[in-house]
Amino acid sequence: MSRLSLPTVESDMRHHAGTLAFYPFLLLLLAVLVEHPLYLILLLFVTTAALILRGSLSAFGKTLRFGWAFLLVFFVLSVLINKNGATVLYAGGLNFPVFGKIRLTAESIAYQGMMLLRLLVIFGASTLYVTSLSPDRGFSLFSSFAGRSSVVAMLTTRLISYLSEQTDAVRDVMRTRGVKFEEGSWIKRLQKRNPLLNVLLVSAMEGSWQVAEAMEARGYGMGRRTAYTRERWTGRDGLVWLPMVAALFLAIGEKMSERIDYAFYPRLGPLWPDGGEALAALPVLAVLLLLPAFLLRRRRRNR
Amino acid sequence: MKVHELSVEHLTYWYPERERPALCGINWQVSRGEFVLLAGPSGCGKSTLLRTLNGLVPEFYGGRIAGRVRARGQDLRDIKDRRIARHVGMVFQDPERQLVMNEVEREIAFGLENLAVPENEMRRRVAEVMAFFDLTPLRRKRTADLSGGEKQKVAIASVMALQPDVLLLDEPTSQLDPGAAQEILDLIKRMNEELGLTVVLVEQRLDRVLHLADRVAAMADGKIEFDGSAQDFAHYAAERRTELLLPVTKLFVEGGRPERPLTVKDARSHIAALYEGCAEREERAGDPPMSRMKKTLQRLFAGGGREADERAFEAGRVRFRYESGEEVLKGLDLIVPRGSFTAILGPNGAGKSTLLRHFCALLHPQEGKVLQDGRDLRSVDAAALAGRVGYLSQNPGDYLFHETLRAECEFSRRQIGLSTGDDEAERVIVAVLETLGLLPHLDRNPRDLSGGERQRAALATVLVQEPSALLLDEPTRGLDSGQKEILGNWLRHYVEEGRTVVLITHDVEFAAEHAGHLVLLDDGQTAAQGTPREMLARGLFYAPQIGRAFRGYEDDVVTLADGAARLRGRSGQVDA
Repeated sequence: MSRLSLPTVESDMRHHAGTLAFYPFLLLLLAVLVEHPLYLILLLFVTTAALILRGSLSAFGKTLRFGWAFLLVFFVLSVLINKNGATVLYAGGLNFPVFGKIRLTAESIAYQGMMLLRLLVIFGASTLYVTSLSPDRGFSLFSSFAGRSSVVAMLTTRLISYLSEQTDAVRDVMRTRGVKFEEGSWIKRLQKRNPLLNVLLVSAMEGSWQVAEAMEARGYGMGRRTAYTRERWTGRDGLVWLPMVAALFLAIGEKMSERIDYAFYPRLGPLWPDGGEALAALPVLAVLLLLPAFLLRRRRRNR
Repeated sequence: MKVHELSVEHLTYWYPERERPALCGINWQVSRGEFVLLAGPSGCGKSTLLRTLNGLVPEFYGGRIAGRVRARGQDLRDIKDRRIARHVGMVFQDPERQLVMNEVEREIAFGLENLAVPENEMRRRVAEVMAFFDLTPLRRKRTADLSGGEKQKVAIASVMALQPDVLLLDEPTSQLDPGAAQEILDLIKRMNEELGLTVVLVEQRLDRVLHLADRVAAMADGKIEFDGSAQDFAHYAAERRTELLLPVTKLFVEGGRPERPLTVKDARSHIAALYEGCAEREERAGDPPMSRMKKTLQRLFAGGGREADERAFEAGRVRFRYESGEEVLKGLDLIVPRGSFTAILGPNGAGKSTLLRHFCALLHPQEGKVLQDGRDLRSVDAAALAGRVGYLSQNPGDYLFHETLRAECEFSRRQIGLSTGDDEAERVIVAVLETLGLLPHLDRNPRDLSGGERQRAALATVLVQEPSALLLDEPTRGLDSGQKEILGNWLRHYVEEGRTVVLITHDVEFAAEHAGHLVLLDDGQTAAQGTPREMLARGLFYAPQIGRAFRGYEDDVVTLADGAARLRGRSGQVDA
C-alpha cells in the first residue's frame, strides 16, 4: 500500500507553522470564492507551482491516483443530473430512473468543468498542507483553541499509518492460513476480505484503549493545557504574509464587484468581458500568489 | 508514624462484570527511593496492582474497589482530575501503543502540556530529559522511525519529564531484544540511584532484574504471597514457586545444593568453591585440537552430505532487498533437516524474520532459491503452503477474530479444504486444544484470553491444519517461565513425531534447553550453526546463564539438566 510521505520537522522550521498553514488555506479559500474559469486555471497553476517548489508533486500524484475515480464519477453524475443551460448538445427520449430524460448542455458541462478545476485546487492545497506541516506542528498550532479536536486529528493521523501496516501484516497471516485473496468472483474476493476488516477493527479498538490509557497516565484530561512550541515569528514570515494578505483583500474586492464570478447560465458568458478590463486583477493575483510559493519553497541543504 | 511513598490497605478489586476479585485483601507499602520488583505468574494480578497505585484502576477500568491506596499518605480518591500523574508516572509494555505524538521532542512535551506547565519550564525540562536519556540527537525524528528500544526510552523520558516521585513499569522490556532490554533496565537503575526515584517494576524475565531490586514482592491469585529481600525470594521460590526461579538458582536447586545464587557471579563463586574443594581439577576447558578439527569437518560436511529428501527447508545463496532499498539477506545459505528443532538467533536486522517469511513463501528471493521439501518456492503462493507449513507471526492477535476458539480453528481447517463439524474435525480440534491446555476455553472468545493463552490459541489455529513443519517468529515473547516451559516441551514432543520446527528467539536459555540445532544469523548471512553445545558453550553474548556459571570449569555445559548433573557429581566427589 502506498503511503503519503509526511514532512520531517527539520525541513520546514524556517517558517512559522501559521505561515505554512495559511498559504494552503488561502488557496483553498480562493478556490471556493472564485468561479471564473481563468481565475481557477490560475489557482491550479499556482497550486501546482507551489507543490513543485516544495517538492510535493509526487505526493499530489499519489492523491490523484486514489482520487481520480471520485472526480470522474462526480463529473459524469453532475453533468447527467444538471439539465440547465440553453445550448443543448444532446437530448434523449428515454426516461432513466434517477436521471430522468438525458439532456446534455454546453453550459452544464462547462459548469462541472469549473467544479472539477475547483476540486483539483482543493486536493492540491490539501496535499500542500499535509506535506508542508508535520502533524505535531499542526497539532501545536490548533491545540490552543481546539484542543480535543486536535488530539483526535493527531491520533487519526497515527491510526492511518498504523492501520496500513496492520492490514499488510494481517493479510500475510491470512495467506499463510490458506486464504487466497485473488481467487474467485469479485463478490467472493470481497467476502474473503471480511475477516481482514474484523481483525483490523478489533486491533484498532485494543490499540486505541492502550493509547488512551497511556494518555490518561500522563495526565491527559486534567483540564486546561499549555502548548509546547518551537515556533518563532521571523521577518521571513512577514515577507510571506504580505502578498498573502494582499491577495486575500484583492480577491475579496474582486468578489464584491463580481469580477471573479462567471455567468454559466442560461448561456455561457464571455471569458474576456469588456475588452479584458474585468480581468485586470488576474496578473496581479498571479504575482501575489506565486510570491509566497517561491518564498516557501523547500531549500536543498548541503551536508 | 512513617509515611510511605505508596501504601495499600485491605485492597480488593473486581473488574467490571467479574465475580472473582483480581486483587484480594492486599496490605502493602513501598518506601521512598526503593526499587521494588513485583513478580508472579501471568494473570496473578501484578499489572492490576500496579494500576491501582496510580489510580488507573478503577478510574480508567471501572469495576468495584474496596480498601485504600495512598500516595505519601494522601488517599488517591481525594486526588482529582488525574493530578496523580504529577507524582506517579507509568510506563507500559508495548512501546508502540503508548506514544501519542509523531516527533520525539513533542512526545516528551505531551505530558507537560497536559499538566499545564508554563512554556519556559517545559523547554527546560524537555532539554534536560533529552540530555539525561541521550535523546537529543533524535529530537526531530519521527517516533514511528525509532527502534523498539528507542521508543521505550522515549516513553520513559516523556514520563520522567513530569518529574514524578514514583515510576511504575509494567514489563517495559518484554517487547525488546536483549541488548535494548538491558539498556532500559540500566537506565531505570540509574534513575533510582541518581535521582532517588522510587521504582515499582513488573517483569517476567527475573534473571534480568532480580539483582537490581532492593525488595521483591511475589503475587499469586491476587494476593501478595512473599515480600522480602531478593535472597529470601530465592529461598521462597525454591520451596513454593519453582516456576519463578532464576536459571542459576534453579541449577543449584536441581543440583541438590543448599546455595541460592541470584547472579552468574554468585553461582560462579559457589561453583569455584566446589571445584577447588576437589583434589584434582579435571581439565575440561576445551577439546584437544584434533577433536576440534574433526568437529569442524563434521559440521562443514554435515549439510552438504544430507540427502535432498531429508531437508525440510533449504535456502541457497538467497538475496533479498525490501522496497525501501535495504538489503536484508545477502547470499544466505541454510539447510533445515526434516524432523529437526532449529532455533535461529541473531541481532535485530540480521534477517531472521525475513528468512522465515521466505520459508512460508510470503517473500520470494530476488536471487538464489528457497526450497520446501525439495520444491522450489519461487512461484508458490503462501496460501498454497497452508496445511503443510504452519506460520506463527509475532502478533497472535492477527489470528484471532472469531467469536469462539472453536470457530477460529474451524476457519483454519475450512481454508485448506479440511472437514469441519464432523467427528474427525472434532477429534483434531479437541486433541490440539487439549495438548496446548486450551480445551476449557473452546467456547470462549479468544480475545478474552491472557497473553500466554492467546499465543497458544494462535498456535492452535495453525496446528489444526496438521502441518508437517512449524515456523514460529519469537513465540516466547511475553511468556512467563512456566508458559515457556510448557511451550518448549510441547514443541519437542511435536518434533519427536517426525515433524520440523524452526523458530526465532532472543531467549538463549529457551534455545539451549529445547532446540536441537542452532543457527546464528548476522548481517543477512549464516554466521554459524551447530548443536546448542557447539554454539553456546563458549559464547559471550549468546550463552545461557548456566553455561556462563560453569565457564572455565565445565565448558560443555549449556542446559539445566547438564549443569545439575555436574553439580550433583561434584558434590558427591567433595563428600567422598
